[in-house]
Amino acid sequence: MGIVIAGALSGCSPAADPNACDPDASTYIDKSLEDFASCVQDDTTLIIQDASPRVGEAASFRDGDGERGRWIVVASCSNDEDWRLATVVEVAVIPTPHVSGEADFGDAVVCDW
Amino acid sequence: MKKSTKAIIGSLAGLALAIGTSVPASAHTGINYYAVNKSKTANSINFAQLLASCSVGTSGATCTISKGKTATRTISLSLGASRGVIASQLGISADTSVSVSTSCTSPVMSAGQVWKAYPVGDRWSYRIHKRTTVYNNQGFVQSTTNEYSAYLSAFNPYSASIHCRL
Repeated sequence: MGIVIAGALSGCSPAADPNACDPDASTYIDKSLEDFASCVQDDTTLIIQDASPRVGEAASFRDGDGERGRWIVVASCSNDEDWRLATVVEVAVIPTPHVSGEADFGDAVVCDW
Repeated sequence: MKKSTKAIIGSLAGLALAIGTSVPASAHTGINYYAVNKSKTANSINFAQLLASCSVGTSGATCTISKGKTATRTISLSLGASRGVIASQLGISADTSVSVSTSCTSPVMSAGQVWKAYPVGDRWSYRIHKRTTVYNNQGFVQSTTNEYSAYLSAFNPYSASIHCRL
């Protein structure tokens, strides 16, 4: 059984402006997690799936400053029709330089809520 | 400086006597609430409150619960005490929600496992003391009644800490 007590992330991101983001979440496929996450509201729960095994890599994602820029989005879902305003957003990511065309990521997100 | 109602009424009565008139004081009842027998346990995990959970779509993958989550500040009440009064007595906010903005990443998971996040905070134990004081129409204390609740609990979540486990 793994147990983690997480501390605060350093830094503070500004509130996302939904109008600055594309309403179609699929346009963020192959874009950086950093770009995607910047469109998620601060009070939204963001679930990040590290789907590295699908491209032959061991899972290694650790959230933190600068880390999100080297991961790309391969799938996402949300509990609201407009993902930019959802209260829960789930996203599957792989590390660069891999791209989404290397594997099937259709079921990489679970969206179980 | 705070001055008691009784003292004020007493002063008014003295003034009325000095100038030869009377100031009618009405009988009334005062009720006060206090949190007593207080104790606090820091870094307590509230397993009754699941903040978020995730399971993986890829065997061998990890899952990170990130960004905003909302934890609930709970304050148990009794004897008619209000949330605001007891929160003040405990020295915590009466607001119901606390925004929690931290993240935690699971170990490598397999299908069917669930990574869960719970709030961490101060857990308070206390009793509520209700003191009812009846004043007569001269403003003097006629009777005082003390009531005590059973031990109650409150949970005050931290905004910068969560507990995650499989």
